[in-house]
Amino acid sequence: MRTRAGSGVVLLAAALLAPGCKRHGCLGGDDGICQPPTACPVPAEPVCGAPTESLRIGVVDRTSWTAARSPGPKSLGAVGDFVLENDLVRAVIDAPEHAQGLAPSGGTILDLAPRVTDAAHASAGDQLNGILQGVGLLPRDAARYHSAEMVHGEPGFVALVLRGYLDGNNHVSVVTRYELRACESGLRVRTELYNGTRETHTFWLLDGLFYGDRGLLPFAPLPGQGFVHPKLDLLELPKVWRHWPFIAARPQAPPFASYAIVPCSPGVGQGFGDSTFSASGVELAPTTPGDGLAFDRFILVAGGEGVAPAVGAALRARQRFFGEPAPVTVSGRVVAGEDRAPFDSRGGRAASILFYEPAPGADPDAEAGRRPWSEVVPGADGTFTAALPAGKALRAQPHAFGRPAGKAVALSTAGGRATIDLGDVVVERPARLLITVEEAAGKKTDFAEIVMIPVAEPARGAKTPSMYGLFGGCDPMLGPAHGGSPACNRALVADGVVDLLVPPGRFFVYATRGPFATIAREEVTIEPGMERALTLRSALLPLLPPGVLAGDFHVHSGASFDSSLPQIDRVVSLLATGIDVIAATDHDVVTDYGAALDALMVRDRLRIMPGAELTPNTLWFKVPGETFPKTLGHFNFWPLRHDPFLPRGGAPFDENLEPGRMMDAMDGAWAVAAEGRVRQMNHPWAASKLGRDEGFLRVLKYDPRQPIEAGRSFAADVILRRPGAGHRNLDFDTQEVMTGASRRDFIRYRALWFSFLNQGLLKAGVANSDSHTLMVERVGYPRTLVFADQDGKSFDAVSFNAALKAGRAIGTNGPVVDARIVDGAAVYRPGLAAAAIGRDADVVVTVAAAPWIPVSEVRFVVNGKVVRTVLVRLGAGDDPFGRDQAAELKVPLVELVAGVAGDAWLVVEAGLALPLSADLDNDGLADTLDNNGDGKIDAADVPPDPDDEDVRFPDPRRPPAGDARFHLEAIAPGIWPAAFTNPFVLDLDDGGWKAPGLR
Amino acid sequence: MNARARVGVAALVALSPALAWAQPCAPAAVASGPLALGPGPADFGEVAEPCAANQAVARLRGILLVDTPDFYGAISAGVTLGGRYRIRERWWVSGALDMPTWRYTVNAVVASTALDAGPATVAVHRALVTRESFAVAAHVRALVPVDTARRFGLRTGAELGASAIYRPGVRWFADGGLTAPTALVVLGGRTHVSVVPAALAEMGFALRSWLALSLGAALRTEVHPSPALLALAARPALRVRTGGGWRFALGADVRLVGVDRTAAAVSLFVGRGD
Repeated sequence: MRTRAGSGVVLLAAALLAPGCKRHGCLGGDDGICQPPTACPVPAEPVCGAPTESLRIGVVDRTSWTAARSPGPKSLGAVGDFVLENDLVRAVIDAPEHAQGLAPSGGTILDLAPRVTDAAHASAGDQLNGILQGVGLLPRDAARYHSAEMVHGEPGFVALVLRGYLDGNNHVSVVTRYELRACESGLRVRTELYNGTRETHTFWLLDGLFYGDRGLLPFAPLPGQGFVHPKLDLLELPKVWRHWPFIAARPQAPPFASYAIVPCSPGVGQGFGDSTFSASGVELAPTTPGDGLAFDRFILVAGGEGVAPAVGAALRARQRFFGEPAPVTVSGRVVAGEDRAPFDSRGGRAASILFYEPAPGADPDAEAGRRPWSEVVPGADGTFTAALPAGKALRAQPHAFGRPAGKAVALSTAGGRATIDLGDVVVERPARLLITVEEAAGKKTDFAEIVMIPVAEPARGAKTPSMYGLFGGCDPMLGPAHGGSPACNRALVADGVVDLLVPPGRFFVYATRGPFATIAREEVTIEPGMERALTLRSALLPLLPPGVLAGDFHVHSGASFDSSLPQIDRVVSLLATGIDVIAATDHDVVTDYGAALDALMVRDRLRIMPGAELTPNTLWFKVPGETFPKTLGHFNFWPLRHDPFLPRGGAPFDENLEPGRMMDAMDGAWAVAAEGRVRQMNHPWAASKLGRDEGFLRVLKYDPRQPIEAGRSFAADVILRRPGAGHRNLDFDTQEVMTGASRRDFIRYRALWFSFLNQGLLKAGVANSDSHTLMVERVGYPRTLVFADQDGKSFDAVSFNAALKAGRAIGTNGPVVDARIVDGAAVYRPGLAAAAIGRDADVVVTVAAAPWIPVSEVRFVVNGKVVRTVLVRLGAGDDPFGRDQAAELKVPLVELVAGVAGDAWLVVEAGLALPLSADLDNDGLADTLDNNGDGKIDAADVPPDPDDEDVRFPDPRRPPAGDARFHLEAIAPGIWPAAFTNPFVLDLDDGGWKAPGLR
Repeated sequence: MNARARVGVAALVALSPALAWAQPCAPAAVASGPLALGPGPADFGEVAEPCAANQAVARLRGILLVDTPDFYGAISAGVTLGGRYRIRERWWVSGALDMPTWRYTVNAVVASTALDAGPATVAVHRALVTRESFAVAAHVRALVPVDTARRFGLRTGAELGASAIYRPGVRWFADGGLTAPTALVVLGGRTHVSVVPAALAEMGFALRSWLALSLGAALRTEVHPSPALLALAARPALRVRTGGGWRFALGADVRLVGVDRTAAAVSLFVGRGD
C-alpha cells in the first residue's frame, strides 16, 4: 500500500510537471524515445525553394557507397554509416560501432563536404578528420554512442539522433541530434546531457575538432590571433582559453573546404584553438546532480579557397540566428605592378588578403593587436569577394609569398551598405620561373623536385616569410608548408617542367632526384615581374647493387589525420626521389593510392603495399610513477587488404590496446601469407605529442643497459607480455633505427637496436622517412635498401618482405654501404640468420655516395661497440655537382672480433662522424651535445629547460657555403649522412649462435 | 589516549562544576540532538533533533571531494540558514535554506565555479516519547525546489524520519535516528526517483556544562535506483553553549567507506534560542 501511494505521488508529480518540460528533449536523461529539439531555432525558419528530393538521409550500403563519398582522401564513410545531404552539403556520421580517431565510438561527424554541383566548387571536398562530442579533455569524457535513429522530418529537414553515455560514466547520458535542413550549408547540432551521478561536475559540453596537425588551419576572429593561436599546454588551459562568435578553419591543400562552428544559445562559444586539437563548447559551470545541459551550434562547410567562404557563411548564420546585421560583401581585384595586370593568386600560394580590425596604438597593422576577421584568396583573374562583419572599421592587407605585398587598405563596413567595392588592390609583381629538369642534354626527366633557398642566410632573428604567422622558416614561401606542391620552398616536377611564381630575391635553385642522383644548382637574382627559364640537369647514379629496391615503409599522405598532402603529390614526390616501393602507412586507415597511380600511369614504377600505422590516441596505459596514463607507441603493418567499404579502409580499431593485441587485431586484415607480413615498431624513442606517446620503448622507460627478462623491470615485463591470446608485445619483425632526418633520434634508436641485438632479440633494422608533407620529413630520407633480388618490374611483395624481415637490408639517408664477408669461397651479406664464419674471413665494404653527400668514415660495430673506424673521403666538396664516388676497403674479421670470446654480431656503418654526445640523465641514451664547445659534455651544456631537446641535442643547421654538407642541408634539412647494414650474425665457434648479452 | 591526555581529561572533569541538567531535552543542555553534518542539500536527509525548541541557526559548511586517480575534485562552501519553532507542546516546525553556496569543480584541467542559492527544506516534527532520560520524535520534511544552481527542471522530495536522545546522567548522552528521504528530479518529461535512507548513532560527553564532545557514525545508503552503500562516515563534533542562549558547534562528517566520493564535510554552527 505504501509503495502504491509512493508511486502515485511520483506519477502525479510527473504528470503535472512533464508537459512543461517536453521541449527539453533528453535533458532529463535518455529514455530511448526522447529527441532533442532543433538546434538554433529561429522564430521563422526560412522558406527554401530547393527541390525536396535533394534532402535525404540514409544508411550507406555498397550500392550507395560511391555516391556517399565526397572527394578527398579524408572522406572515410563506410558501409553502415549514415549520410545526410541536401543540394549544398553532404555529411557522413559514422555508425556507433565505427569508432574513429579520438572518439570511443561512432556518432561523430566523419565527413562534411560541399556538394560538387558546379564548376565553381569543382575542387571542393572533405577535409575533416572528425568532430566528436565530449565534456572534457580526458578519454573518459568523450561521448560513447550506442544507437542511432534516423528522423525524416516534415517539412524540410532530416535528422539523426545518436544516443549514448560518457565513455567513463554511464550515469551521464548524452544524446546528440544532427539535423540538416534544405538550403542550409551545414548541420544544426544539439547535444543534451543528463547528470545522473550523485556529484556536481564541470561538464564542458564541447565539439572536439581533431585537426591532427598539418591539416586544417584553425582560425579565430580574436585580437592578436586569426590563424595564430597561443601554444596549447593542456596543463595550463586558462592561458589559452578564449571566447568567440565563431571559429573557422581552412585547408592547406585541395580539396578545398572551409569550416565554421557558430555557437547558439548563447551566441558565444569558448575553448581553445590549436592545429592538433581545437575545442569549442559551452560556458563552464558546475552541473549539479539531476540537472541537464544542452549545447546548440551550427557546423557549416563552404567550398572555395581560404577561410573567407566559411567566415561569410558563419556571419550569415549569426544574422539568421541572432538577428545580427547582415554581413557586408566586399569585392575587388588584386592586380600586380604599376600597369595593374590582374594577378592569378594560384590558389592563395601567390597572393591572398587578410581583413582585420586595426590594432590599437600607432601601428594599426601590428600582428599582436589586430583582429583578423577573414582571409580571401583571389581567383585566377585576381577578383575576390568576401563577407565581412557590418559596422567595423577594417583594413585589407594583401600578402604574397608569406609577406605583406602592398599597402593595407582601410575600409569601413559601417553605414548600412550591403556591398563595398575595394577596387584594385595593388601588390608587387612576382617573377616567374619556368624550370626544366633534364636527365641528359635535351632529354627531359619526368619526376624531380625543385628546392629554393636564399643565397644569403637570413640573419638570426630576422623575420622570415610566414603564412600570417604560421610556418616561419620557409624562405621563399611558395605555398602553405603542409599543402601540395609548391609547398614551403619546394616544388615537384612532373613531365620535366614546373612553372613557378616566385618572389623577388637572390636564390639558389636546386634540382634533385633523390640521394642516388646528381644535383644541379643555379643562382638566380629575381626581379619583380621578370620571367626566366632555367634548365637544370640531374642524372641517376648507379649506386645500388643489383637486385636492390629502395623502400620507404613509413609514409603518410592526406588520408592520415596529420597530413593534408594530396595523394598525387605524394606519389610524385616518391618518384622524384627514387623510391621503388613503399608501405602506405597512413594513421589508422588503409590506403592504396590507386587513383593517383592510375592518373600518373606509374603502377609499374612505384609499388604500393597498402598498410596502416596504428596510432592510439586515447590515454589509457598506466606506467608506474607517472601521473597521467599513456598511449603505447606507433606500429606499422603491411601489406593489408584495402577495403574502402569498411571503416578505416579495413584497419582495425586500435585504441586501448597493447602492441601484442594490435597484432592480434590485425590478423584478419592481412593481404598475404604469413611470410610476407610485416609488423614494425616505429620511432621507439619518439617524444609524446599533446600527451600522446609515440615511442613504445620511451613510454616504458626502457633502459638499453637492462636485460629484457621477466621481473627485471616494468619495461621488460611489458615488452615480454602477451596481452591477448596471440602475440607478445615483442613480436614485431622490424624496428626503425632511422626515422626522418633527426641525428639525435638515430643515435638513440641505434642504441636501442643494439641492445636488442645483444640480447638475441634479432629484429631487422629499417630506415624510414615518416614523411607527412613535402616540406617536413622529406620522403625517402632515409630509406631502406632491400636485397630482394627483384628489379621492380615483377615485384613480389611476399618475397620482398621476407627479405626485409630477414635483415637483408641497408638503412641510409644518402650513403650506400654494401658489406660482405668473404670466407674462402663463400660470400655472406648481412642478415638475421646466423652463419658459421671463420675468424680468418675478410670483411669487404663498398661505400658509394652521390658527390653532394659527404662520407668521412666507415664504422665497424661489434656487439654494440665501435671497434674500428676507417676514414674515407667521399663528397668532400671537390665537385658536388659531379658524378658518383665510391671507396672499397677490406678488413680482416679477426681484427674486428679480437676481443670477443664467444659469438658476435657485426654492423657496418658509413657516413659522417657522429657528434660527441653523452647521457647526462643516466637513462642509457645520449641526451646532450657539447653545446658550449668547451670540449666536454657536462651540466654547462644543458639548457635552462632541460626537456628542450632541440637545444640540448640540436639538429645541424645550415652550414657555411663551402661546407661539404651545404647542398645536402639545402635539399634535405637536418640530414647527417649515415648508413647502416643489418647485422652479420656471426657464429664464430660453429656451435650455434649465442647472443653476447648486455655488458 | 596517552597518560598525559587521560590526566588532562580527568582534571577537566574534576574541575567542572556540577551539571544541573539531566532531562533529555533540557534547554540548558549543551547538546540537544544530532547536528546536520552531512553533505546533502540544506538539511535534507539529516537526522533531526528530537527536542522541541525555538532556535535560529546558521551553518557554515565546507565540502571536499578529491579523487586524484580520476582527476576529479569538487569543493563547495556555503551558509545554511535554519531554525526550529515550537508551535504546540509536542509539535514544532523547522526549515533550512542553503544560501549562498559556492561551488568549484574540476575535471582534470577544466574547472568551473558558481555561486548559487537553494534549495530549502521545511519540516514538521512531533515528540512521540518524552521520558526522564530519553526522548523520541518523528518528522516529515520536504525539499523545496528553489535552487538557482539548476538549469532545467526541478528537484524536490520528501523525507520521513525519527530521532532520539538518551541522557542517562549529567555527562553522557547518546543520540541518533533514522531518516528515509526520497528525492524527485523532474526534467524533460522524465522523473528520477532516488531513495537514500540514512542512520545515525553518536555518543557524547559533556566536559563542562557549556562544553561537550561527541563522536558518532552515519550510514547513508541508496536503495533506489541503484542499491549501494553511499557512505559510512565518522562524525566528530564539539559543542559549546554560552550565556544568552548562544550555541556553537564544530563538526565533521568524514567518509570511511562507500561509493560516495565526498571525503569530508566540515560545519560550523552558530545558533541562538531556548
